[in-house]
Amino acid sequence: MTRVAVAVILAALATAAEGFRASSVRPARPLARRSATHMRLLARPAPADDEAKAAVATASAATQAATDFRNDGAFAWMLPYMEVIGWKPGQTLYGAMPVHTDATVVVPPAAVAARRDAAAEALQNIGSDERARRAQLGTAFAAVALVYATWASLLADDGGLTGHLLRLGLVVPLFLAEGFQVSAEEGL
Amino acid sequence: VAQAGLWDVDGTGLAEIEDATLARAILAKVNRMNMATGVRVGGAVAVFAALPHAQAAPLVVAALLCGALYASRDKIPT
Repeated sequence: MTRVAVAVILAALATAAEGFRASSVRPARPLARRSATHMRLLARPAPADDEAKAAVATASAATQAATDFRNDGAFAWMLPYMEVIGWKPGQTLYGAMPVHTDATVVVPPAAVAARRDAAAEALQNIGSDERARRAQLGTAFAAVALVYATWASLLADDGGLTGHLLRLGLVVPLFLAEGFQVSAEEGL
Repeated sequence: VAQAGLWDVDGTGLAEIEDATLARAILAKVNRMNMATGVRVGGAVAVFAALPHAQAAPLVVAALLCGALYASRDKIPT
């Protein structure tokens, strides 16, 4: 009787394990979402062993690193909004907002190359004019934050929950102030 | 603009960063900067919002004084 019970329990455990394994296997991505590199890898014959697989993966990653830019960072969700706002080639940043590039201004190719080299070396993506504008914006938003904090704390705060929530609203102007200031300092 | 792999550094407007490795390095730096700024500002504002009214008000008065001193820098003849 005991043996029968043990056999039943083992069979149940095996079934459960198989079910768990099947449910934990990730479904394959649709072909349309696979990158060109991935498709080339799929077309190749299967490598003979794990070492060969690793070599192929490394080579593929290196090739992709040199040719592809893909944003998979924490702020990649912003991408769909960027073109709507107008952050795209052909525009110029003016206080972080896009304006049409002045086509009458011609920058010599040598100056373009020199500025790009300097930016690449310093890991920066905005120029000195835009950095100065952002520093001014940072100061302006700091003043706004101070005015808001004064109003929220000294005038509108009734000592209750509303006062705490109003003071929490300081996060918006203060984030803009600090964000523009740091952006100006870092050139990003 | 780093999110889209663009930069505006040479006076010709926004342009794609042709070197993907460089674009990724700038993106990583921007993301670190944004996260650090968010944590710094969020933490400071959370503390400020959590303070009782009696403690928040003097803090704001002190900030006003600092702001006034900053605004008047280089304007007072010595």
